[in-house]
Amino acid sequence: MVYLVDEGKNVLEQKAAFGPKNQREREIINPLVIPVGQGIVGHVAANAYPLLINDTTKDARYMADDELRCSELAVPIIHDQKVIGVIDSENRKKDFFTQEHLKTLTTIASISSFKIAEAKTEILAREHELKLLEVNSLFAESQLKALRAQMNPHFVFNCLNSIQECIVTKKYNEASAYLNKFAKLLRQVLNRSGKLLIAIEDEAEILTLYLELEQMRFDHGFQYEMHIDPDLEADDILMPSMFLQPFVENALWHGLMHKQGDRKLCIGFFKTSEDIFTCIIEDNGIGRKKSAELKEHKVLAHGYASKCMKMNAERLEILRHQQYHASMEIIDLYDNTGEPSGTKVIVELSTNILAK
Amino acid sequence: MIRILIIDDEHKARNILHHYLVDHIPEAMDIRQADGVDAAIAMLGEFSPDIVFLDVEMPVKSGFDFLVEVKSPSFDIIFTTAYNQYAIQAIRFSALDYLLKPIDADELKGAVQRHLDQKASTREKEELYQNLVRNLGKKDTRDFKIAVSSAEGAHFFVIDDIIRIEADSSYAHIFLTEGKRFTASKTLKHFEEMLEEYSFVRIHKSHLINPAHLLQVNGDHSIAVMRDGSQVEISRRKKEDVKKLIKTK
Repeated sequence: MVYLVDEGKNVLEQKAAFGPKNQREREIINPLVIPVGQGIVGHVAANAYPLLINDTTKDARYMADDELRCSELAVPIIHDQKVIGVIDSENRKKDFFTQEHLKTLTTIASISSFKIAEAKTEILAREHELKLLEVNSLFAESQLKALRAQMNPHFVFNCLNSIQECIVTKKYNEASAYLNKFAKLLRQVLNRSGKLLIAIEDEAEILTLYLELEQMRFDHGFQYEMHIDPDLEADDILMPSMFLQPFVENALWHGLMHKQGDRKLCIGFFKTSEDIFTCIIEDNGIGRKKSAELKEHKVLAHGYASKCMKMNAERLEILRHQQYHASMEIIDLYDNTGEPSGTKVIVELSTNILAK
Repeated sequence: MIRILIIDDEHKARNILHHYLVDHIPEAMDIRQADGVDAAIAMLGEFSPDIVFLDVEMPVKSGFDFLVEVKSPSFDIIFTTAYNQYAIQAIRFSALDYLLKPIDADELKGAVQRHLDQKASTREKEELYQNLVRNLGKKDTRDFKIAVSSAEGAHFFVIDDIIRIEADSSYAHIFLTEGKRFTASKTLKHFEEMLEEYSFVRIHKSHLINPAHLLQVNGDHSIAVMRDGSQVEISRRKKEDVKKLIKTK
């Protein structure tokens, strides 16, 4: 009987047999599971040392499986100084096994250890491959979603509405400027459609256009700042496209628009180390707690931004699966008197994200 | 002469409506504006509008919050929205009026004309608004109740109750479960647009059916037999679609 160690469960499982427990091909009848340390086999696994028992009736460790047998020989299968299994042989007669048997079985154990280890590695590789496939399909799915979520339709139609206002009120220069900016944004977004990754510089440009359009729509009812660290290779480093858009929309709609007076939004891209860069989106709005309270009382709560947030979390998860650094943190800000004074979103990403 | 209140958080959006009303609606005489729900409610004390143009998506309080706070409006509401499929469906299901932004002048004229022509009683209007508020409490639009005005007043029913709808020039006969039926002064096209996302199928130029109530097809796919026993003609070009429907059942 050959047992293999299941490391996770710390038990020995019967895997292959010759004798009454194996009557058909490679199938074992009632396969036994033994905790490492229990019985003769368990003892051999725990101590990595063979046992030759001449009379099992005198050994308290003996556990009968399908029938009682009087002598037993068990040798560990060792690979990389670790017990990976046990070969066990039993006989009805007392004093059946000799030192010669022990030597032979030890040799067999050492030969098979290589084969078993090889097979195990193969299974692990296959599992890893399956996991990779899973990640890839998750990736493909989120790619589709990302394409669909490129632009908030509500934003698009509101822009068109604002352009219409300029025409109706005969502010033709403003209408034209508005239309140009809107066309520029549309072109940027369309050019990048299908691409999952985008240079930091381009992401920043799209965000700037978006914010300029929203500023026009709200008669400059808020201020914004866009900062790119000069040490950061913003034209070269890639990041997930349209990733920051929902955070910016959130800051604008749920942080700033609920507030009276001075409204400010700061977006920054900074070099953290050779391998990591940081994006920061900070607003001086009403804060997350108050915003959530307002939302709770509102009959119609926005669904779009929260959908995007969920998608962003998935995208970060995928990047982590691909062994990149990807983290996100949302911090509630407070002023000197302890009053909420805004929200800060910090996203950290690897500088070496590659297009696949 | 009609008095009008425009509620929208965006100054530009209010401005467009104001201009369009001045240019296209000669009956409009007193047009006022409010930049939010609270401001509008404060105005209602000394101003009683005939029509309120109400933006759906506003920060702090939405247009629907206005409706909830006003409870039984003495005016007609025409909703305005840039894009919100859920809100639009809720409004359509309650047989209320809405305009999409950017505003189309002809659609605006049509909505105001419907206000001038309407014969619905105050009670009926109140029921329609209540239905809208009730619908907004449902997450899934499938659970919305459809409101249909007929000569006897408003009827309310869920999508699953509809077996089929039959066109009759500019009217539509709606056949419901339990043998109920009534006639709406809307075209079949109106219902087709409203119900196609719930997999209703137009099997003939005069017939829209709910596949959930389709039992079988007879006569070489030319007749659909519905759960209430009614037999509905299938047009030649729709035979293939109906075949697929039966297969997937």
